[in-house]
Amino acid sequence: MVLLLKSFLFLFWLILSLSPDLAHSHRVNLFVVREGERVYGEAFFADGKPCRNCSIEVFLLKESKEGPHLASGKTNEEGKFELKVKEKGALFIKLIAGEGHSAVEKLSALTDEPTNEAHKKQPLPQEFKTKKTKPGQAMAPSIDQEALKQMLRGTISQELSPLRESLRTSYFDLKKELNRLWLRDILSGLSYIFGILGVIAWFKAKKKV
Amino acid sequence: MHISEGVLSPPLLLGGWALTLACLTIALRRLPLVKIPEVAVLTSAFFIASLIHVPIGPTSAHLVLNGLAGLLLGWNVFVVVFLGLAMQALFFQYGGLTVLGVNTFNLGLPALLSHYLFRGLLIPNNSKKLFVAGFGAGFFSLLVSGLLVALSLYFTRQEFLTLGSLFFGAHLPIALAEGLITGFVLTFLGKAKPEVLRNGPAS
Repeated sequence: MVLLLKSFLFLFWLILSLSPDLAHSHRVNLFVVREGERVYGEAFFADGKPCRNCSIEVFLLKESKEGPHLASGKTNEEGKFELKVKEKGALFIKLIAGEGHSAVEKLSALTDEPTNEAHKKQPLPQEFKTKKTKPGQAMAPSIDQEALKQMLRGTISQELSPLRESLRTSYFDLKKELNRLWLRDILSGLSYIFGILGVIAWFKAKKKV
Repeated sequence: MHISEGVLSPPLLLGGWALTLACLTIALRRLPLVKIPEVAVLTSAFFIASLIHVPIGPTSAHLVLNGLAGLLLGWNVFVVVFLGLAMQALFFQYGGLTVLGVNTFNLGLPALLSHYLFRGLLIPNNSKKLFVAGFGAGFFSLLVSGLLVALSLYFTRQEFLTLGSLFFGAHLPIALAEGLITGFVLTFLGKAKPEVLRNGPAS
């Protein structure tokens, strides 16, 4: 009797001491977003530890499977990675974390809208600069429309970049939260186990009668 | 200790399912009514054990407890591993349903073997022998399961170089931890519930 009580106490202690671990599992998660030519991503095991130095392979998506190989890279110490992919079509991204752990994600194709990243890096067109500096001729009619558009795009993109970054972080945080393991998952699993074995016992008992 | 979905080749997946279904049929035929509660409790333990992480160096590994179930249940360990893994796949997204066959076989077979290897040491009231049996079953099952996992991966991806490091780097320490814990559980069972040990071999 004392032993039974002791074992109950031990179990209780075990469950209590494990509760912070309930949010953990061993699965590896991969989250990716795409902005222009850049693909950002984060990989971590569901116990929150980043997936360090894991290989990332980028393929073209073909019939919802991996097509030709486009790029590859590795995650850094924080489990993050950033890759340059010129391809505009849909992508298939694969994470290989070793020991048979892997994860895949798909990214939809880019729309035709020209991308901010490309423009930020482009220097202002030469003619635009020179036209502006000429005295007397500085006013509008001669300003190249295209050049102006590009400059505006570059500025807007720069203004938006902190916002975009914070959106990306909250998106990753939200996904992490959705992938957490909840107590109800554990309880449902246990209930199924007892239920199924109960059904087996029921059938075995019926046969005996 | 499980292999994820989409890693293995189709023939291997089919082979895994065939072997697992065969073993499950044998196990269910040999499952006496009185053993079912024990199977249920060990399945629950197996299901939960995957959440108990043991930190080892830079990574962490989780307990498996297939050795414990195998030692106590013999063939019925296949019911434990199959149900436990199915629930882990459904609720924790470990592995998946196509790899369930291979995963069940990889964890079940070594556990069954450890039953035949160590059941002679299952003597109630002999804590030392019980500990040795538990340690042996836990250690052996985990290490051989690790080897089977590595082999399954090798057949698909031909990554032979990583095999050695994977096997000894990652599985030896967790096998030791698993062995120690299984040993303590068995000595405890020997005192608290010795009747579990007496009807050890499931015939």
